[in-house]
Amino acid sequence: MSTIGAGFSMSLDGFIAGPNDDVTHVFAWMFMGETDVKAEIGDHELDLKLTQESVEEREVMVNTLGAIISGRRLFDMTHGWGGKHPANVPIVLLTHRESPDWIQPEWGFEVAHTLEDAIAKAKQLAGGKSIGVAGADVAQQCLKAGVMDEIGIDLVPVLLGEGIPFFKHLGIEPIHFEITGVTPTPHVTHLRYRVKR
Amino acid sequence: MGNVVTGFTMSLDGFIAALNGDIGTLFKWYYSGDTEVPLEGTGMTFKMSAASARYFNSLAETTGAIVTGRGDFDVSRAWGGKPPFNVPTFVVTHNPPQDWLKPDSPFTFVTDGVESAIVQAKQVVGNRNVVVGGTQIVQQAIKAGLIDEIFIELASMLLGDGISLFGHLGQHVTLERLSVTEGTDVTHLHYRVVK
Repeated sequence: MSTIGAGFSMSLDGFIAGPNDDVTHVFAWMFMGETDVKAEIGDHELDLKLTQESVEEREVMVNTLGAIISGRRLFDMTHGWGGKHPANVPIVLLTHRESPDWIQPEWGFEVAHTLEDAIAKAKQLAGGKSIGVAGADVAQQCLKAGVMDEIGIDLVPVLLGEGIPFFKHLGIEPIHFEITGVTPTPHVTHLRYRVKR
Repeated sequence: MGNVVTGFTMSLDGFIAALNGDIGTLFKWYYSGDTEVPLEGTGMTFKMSAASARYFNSLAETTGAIVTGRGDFDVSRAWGGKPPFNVPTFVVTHNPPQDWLKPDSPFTFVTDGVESAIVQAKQVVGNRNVVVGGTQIVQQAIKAGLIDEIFIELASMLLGDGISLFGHLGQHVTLERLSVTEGTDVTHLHYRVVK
């Protein structure tokens, strides 16, 4: 049974990107460790420098992830990760609009128009592994619908002052979590939570 | 020399209380363990995890004075006449409440702004800390570069709505992580403001 989770790098004041979608500060920790890690996005490589703690966190994520549901905004911004997300799993695009004409069939991606359909399709693709939700808006939809199982926050020591919030004012009844992991490093603290039901 | 610090229990979505001021479920960690923490002068006793209790006690011991806003003062009804941690408390307000303007009052009302209140508080704390409270006051103090350290007790919950601690400051502030302490239902985070 696939669990549904979302993970973001977030500032202490709750933003996952600054003004103009600037992720320089929230992603800075990915380039401040001592271990070289290559991340493949589409057909190009990104050279990360992670601490050993962050390498282990990343391995857990990559090994357990089976599929990703992406919102339209992030999907367009990353151009569908050029067909290959760094976690190398298939993506279900959740969009109200027509699917972009630049999606290549060989990417193996799916398109869904409702959250329910997106989850059903992601479960098919995930093969029992977990489903990751990309994009703050889809993550918020999952929390509101009560279908989120886990959240991960890579908390970075900065106040951005403005930007795109992870949670916004969800207007939901409080959700309580069990803390499943706290991994501090100087430039990021990896926090892992499971929804208490 | 004492530092100027601020500290709050905050939900993962950044709220320090519900919109009506209710803080009930946020402070679950006060009662998530077996270690008794009596709150001096109130008759209240918390029961938190041993790690949280150690952390809480060290915060209490280093609190030398409080600077806060009129909202905090009114909502708490002047903390029943006795400020938290029993330390001198400076309330920033344009209209000092007449009932509390008496010689033995633990409250000093400051009418010329946050910075002035912090300067006055620093004079009475020795080497302990000035603790700044009230979200409006804290946001003003952060923007003015007056805060040295931030303590966040990150409650493992989403509140959904409420009073936001940092709001939209509209200003970038770099922090340095000093410590992370795992509690039960809470993670204690301690940061220094890089100036």
